[in-house]
Amino acid sequence: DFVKVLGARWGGIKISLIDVQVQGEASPAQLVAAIEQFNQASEPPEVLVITRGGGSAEDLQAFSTEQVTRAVAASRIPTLVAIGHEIDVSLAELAADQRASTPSNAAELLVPDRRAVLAGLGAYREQLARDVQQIVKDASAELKLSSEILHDTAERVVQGAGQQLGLKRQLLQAFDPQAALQRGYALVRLDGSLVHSGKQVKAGDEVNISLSDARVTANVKNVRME
Amino acid sequence: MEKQDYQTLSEKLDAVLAKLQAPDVHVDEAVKLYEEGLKLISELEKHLKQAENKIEKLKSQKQG
Repeated sequence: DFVKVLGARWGGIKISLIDVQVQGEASPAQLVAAIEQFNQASEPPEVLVITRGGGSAEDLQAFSTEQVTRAVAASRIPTLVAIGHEIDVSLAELAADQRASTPSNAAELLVPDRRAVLAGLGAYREQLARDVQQIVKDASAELKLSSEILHDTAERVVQGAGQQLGLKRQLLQAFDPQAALQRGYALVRLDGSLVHSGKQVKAGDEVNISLSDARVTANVKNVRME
Repeated sequence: MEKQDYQTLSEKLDAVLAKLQAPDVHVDEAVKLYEEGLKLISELEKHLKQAENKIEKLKSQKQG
């Protein structure tokens, strides 16, 4: 029962068996020898299971003998003892690190049920997927926001530069010399040089006058300083 | 004209405007400055247009 239930619940467990008489006069000595043999092994097992199925109170007597009870208590390997049915309580069970009610119960205590573990893992996997999806979703929302801010900022910078440029264009146009000529002002040049002052010309000089739409050549008749 | 960045061109435009606004600027020079200023402005406008287009393009790439 024990081996069957153990295998059904969890695979890949190495089981070392020592068969002993579980009732009769030879039983206690064989039990003690088996417990000691495992304890002295160069690679002792992780747990020592001492078990037998149900029987009469007499049949189970070996497990309440002093020598067996002491051997169980002295075991350095953790002990799991399951003797008979649930109602049977032997001294060896009381001396054990852990008692189980039946051999099947011993197997249940020893290993988890593979199906329950797999179901638990499945639930973990789903939870993990949900968590990761949430993280990605959050990050994506945050990124979208950042991206909007980025675009808005970039657009604002360009728009601001455009506005500044518009102002500079207006300023530049205020200095358009052609505009001044169109308003009626004229430029006077003598020998290609601009005439800023009456001191630069005298009667008889030939000057060039630039109007907005024509160039006029003229002779100076008189210069009167003001 | 060698390809220059917006900042450089903008600084040049500012310099042109400053010279134009000087009280002793001669008309011949003013015409030259004016022409240069117009050229700089159109260059700067090209820069801005490119920047706007690039932003639009990147924005639509992101959404697509």
